[in-house]
Amino acid sequence: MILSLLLQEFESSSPYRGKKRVLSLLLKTFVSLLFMVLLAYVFWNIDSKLRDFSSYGTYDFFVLYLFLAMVLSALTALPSSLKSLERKEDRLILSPLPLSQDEKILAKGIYFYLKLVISSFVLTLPVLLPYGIARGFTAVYYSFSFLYPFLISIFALGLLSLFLGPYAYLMRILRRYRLFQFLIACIAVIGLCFLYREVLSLFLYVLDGAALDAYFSEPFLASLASASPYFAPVSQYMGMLTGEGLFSSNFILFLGLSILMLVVGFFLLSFLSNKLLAKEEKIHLQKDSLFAKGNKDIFFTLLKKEYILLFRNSSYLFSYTSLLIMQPFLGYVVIESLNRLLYQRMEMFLTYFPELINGVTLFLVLLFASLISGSAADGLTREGTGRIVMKEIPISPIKQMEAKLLVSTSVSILSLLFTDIVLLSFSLVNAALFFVILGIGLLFILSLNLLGAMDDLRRLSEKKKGGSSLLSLYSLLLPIFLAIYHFLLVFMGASALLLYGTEFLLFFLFFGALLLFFWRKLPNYFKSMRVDYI
Amino acid sequence: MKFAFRKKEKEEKKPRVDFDELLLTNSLPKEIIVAEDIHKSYGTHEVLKGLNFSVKAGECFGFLGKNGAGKSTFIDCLVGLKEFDQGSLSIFGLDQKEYPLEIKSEIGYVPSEPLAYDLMTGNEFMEFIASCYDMEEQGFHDNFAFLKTKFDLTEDDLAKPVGSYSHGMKQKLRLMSSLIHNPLLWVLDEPTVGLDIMAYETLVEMMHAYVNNGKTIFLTSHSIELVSEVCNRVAIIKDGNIATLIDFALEPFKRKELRRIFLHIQGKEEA
Repeated sequence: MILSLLLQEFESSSPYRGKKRVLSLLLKTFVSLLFMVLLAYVFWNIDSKLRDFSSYGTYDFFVLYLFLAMVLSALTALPSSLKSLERKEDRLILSPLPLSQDEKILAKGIYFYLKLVISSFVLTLPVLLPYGIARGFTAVYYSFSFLYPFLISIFALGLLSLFLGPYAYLMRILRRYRLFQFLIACIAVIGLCFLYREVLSLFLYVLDGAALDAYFSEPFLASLASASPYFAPVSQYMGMLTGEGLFSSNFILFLGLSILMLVVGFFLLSFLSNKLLAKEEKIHLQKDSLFAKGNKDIFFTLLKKEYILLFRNSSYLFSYTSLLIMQPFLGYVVIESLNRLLYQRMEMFLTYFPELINGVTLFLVLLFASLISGSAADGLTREGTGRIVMKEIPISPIKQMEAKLLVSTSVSILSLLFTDIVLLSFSLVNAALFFVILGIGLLFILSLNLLGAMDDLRRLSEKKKGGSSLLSLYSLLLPIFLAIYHFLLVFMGASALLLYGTEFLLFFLFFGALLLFFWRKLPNYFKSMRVDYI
Repeated sequence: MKFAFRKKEKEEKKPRVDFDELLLTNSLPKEIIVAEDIHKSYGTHEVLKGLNFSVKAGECFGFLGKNGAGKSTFIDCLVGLKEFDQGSLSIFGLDQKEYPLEIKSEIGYVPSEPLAYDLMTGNEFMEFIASCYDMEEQGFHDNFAFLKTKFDLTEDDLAKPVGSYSHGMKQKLRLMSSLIHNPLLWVLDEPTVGLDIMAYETLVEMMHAYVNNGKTIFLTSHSIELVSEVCNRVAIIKDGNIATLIDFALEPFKRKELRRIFLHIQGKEEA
C-alpha cells in the first residue's frame, strides 16, 4: 500500500508522461552530472589552495560546506514538499479510500526523504570524493561517503519538517497580501543575486589561479575551527570517518540526533497534515473591483484581465519579479567578469579587434533577454480553463492577442532597458552600443514573444497534438547566429556601421516576416484552439 | 462614467449588423438557428453526421441525447468554441463562420462546466464580461442587482475569488454572466448541474420569463423533467443525427411521455 502511495507521489511530481518524462529525466541527470563535475573541480582547487595557504582549516571548511549543503537541501525541498502536502487531489481522491493517515504520512515522508537523498548526493559526493583522494583515505572512507547522503538525509528530513510549519504559514500570508509577496520576491531575488555574484567571483578566482586569502583569512579559519564541532550531525559523521575526536562519542551523538530528528520529523509531518494544512485558508474579501475603476475601453479591460492573471498568481509574480530584477544584475555581473577575464587573457587580440568584446556583450544580453521572454510568452497557457471565456466573448482574437503580447513584451522590454542602463552607467557599453543593444534587443524580444504565442497556440490546437518549441529553438539560435555573424564580419574587417546596420536589418526582417505570418495565421490558430473543461 | 463602445475592426469590410435596429423594425428572422448538414469529426470519429434542424424565434428548444451523442459538440459549434467541418449554420440570419463576433454579442452561454477566471472575484468577473459586451454602466448595475437577488449571491460571495467558490456558486455566476447583457439567444449546456433546489426553481422561472419576452433558448440537459417542463420543442439526437423532433404544441401528450420516448429511441424500454 505504501509503495502504491509512493509511486503515486512520483507520478504527481512530474507534469510529463511517456517519452517526455524520460527526456526530462535524462536532461536533469545530464545537468546534475555537469554540476557535480564543476563542483568537484572547484572544491579540489579550493582545497588544494587552502592546504597551501593554511596549516589548519581545510577539515573545518569541509565540514562547514557539508553542513550548509544539508541545510540547503532541506530548504530547497520546502516548496515541493508543501505543494505535495497541500495537493487538492489527495483530499479528493485519497480521503475516501480505506487508508490510514499514518500510511499517507509515511509515504509522503519516504518521498521527501528520497528527494533529499538525491539532492544530497549531487551536492556532497563531488566534495567527499576529492577530499578523500587528496588525503589518500582507505576504501572504508569511500564506502561511507556513498552512504553519507542516505544517512544525513534522515536528519535533513527532520530539519525539513521543522521548517515546513513556518514556511506554510508564511506562504499563506504571502498569498493573502500581494504587496508583501512582491517585496519578499524582490528581497529574495536581490539576496540570491548577491550570493550568485559571490559564487561567481569565487569561481573566477579559482579559474584565475589567484590566492584565496581574500575569502579565507586566518581569523575566519580560526573561528571556523572552533565552530565546526557544533555543525551537528555532520561533524560527528565526518569525525568518525576521518578520525577526528572519539569514535564512540561521535557515533552515539550521530545516531541519537538522527533518531531524534526522525521522530520529530514524523510527528511534525502528521501535525502539519492533520491540523495546519487541513484547515481551510481564510478567504480574503476584496470589495474593490479592478474593472470598476478607470478607463472602460475594451482594450484596457483586456489589459486589466492580463494584470490579474499575472499578478494574482504567486508563482508568476515571483518568476516575473525575479527575472525582471535578475536580468540587469546578472547581465552586469557576468559581462563585467567576462570582460575583465577577456581583457586579462586576450588584451593584444582585442586591441586589433575591438568590436569583438561588444559582440560578446550583445550575445550575452540577448541570451538573458531570452530567459525573460521564455517565461513571459505563455499568455494562453496562463488563461488555464478560462480560455473558454476568450472564445465566447465577442472580441476579435487579434485584439485579445494584442493585449496579451503587450503585457508580456512590456515586462521583457523594461528589463532589457534596465540592463542596458546598468551597462551604460558602469561604462561596460558606450552610447552607440547602448542604442544597438536596445534596437536589436527590442526586435529580438518582440520576435520571441510572437514565437512564444505561436508555440502556445499550436500546443493548444485541436488539430495538432503535442507541443512545439519554436521559442526555445530560436531563443538560442538567434543569439548564436548573431554571434557567429558578428565575429565573421569583425575578422573580415567590417566597419562598425556596416556590422550593426546589417545586424539590425537582419533582425528587423526576421521580425517583420514573423509578424506577417503570425497575424495572417492567428484567426485560424484561434479558431482551432482547444477549450479544456478540466 | 460610461462604458466605451467597442470600435469595429478596421479590416472588416462586411456590412455592419445593428441588432437594435433589427429589433425595432421587427426584422429578425423567424428562425433564429438554422443548421444544415452539420458535420464534425474528432480525428476519424465522426460525432455530428449531417444535423438538420431549425429553432424558431421565441421558443425554448431542447436537445436531448445520451453521453457522447454530440449535444455539447453542437453547442460548442453554435457559440464558436469549435469549428464544424461541413454544412452551414445560420444564427439570427447571419452565417456563423462569417459573423462570429456579431453573433457572439447576442448570445448568452452557460457551459457544461462552470469555468471562469479563478483569480478574479465574482464582481470582477461580472464586470469583465459586461465590459466585453460593451454594456452601459447603468444597464449593467440594474441587471446585476436583479440577477444577484434572483440567484441569491451575496456581496460577500461576490467579493471572494471565483477559485474559492463551490460548484453550485460557480454555476450561478455563469448563469448570471450569461444573462447580464440581456442576449437574444440563451444557450444552456447542462445548466442544472450543481444547483440547489431554490436555484433550480429560479432558473426554471427565468427560462419561462425569457421565452415569454420573445427571446429564444437552446437547452441541452439530461434532466427530462426540466426539458419537458420548459421546452416548446425537443430534438432527440442519436449517433450524431436527429432521431426525432417533437413539437409539444402539436403533440401535447408527449410532454409526459418524453422519458419513455427517449429511452425507446436509445433502445431501452422504461422499467
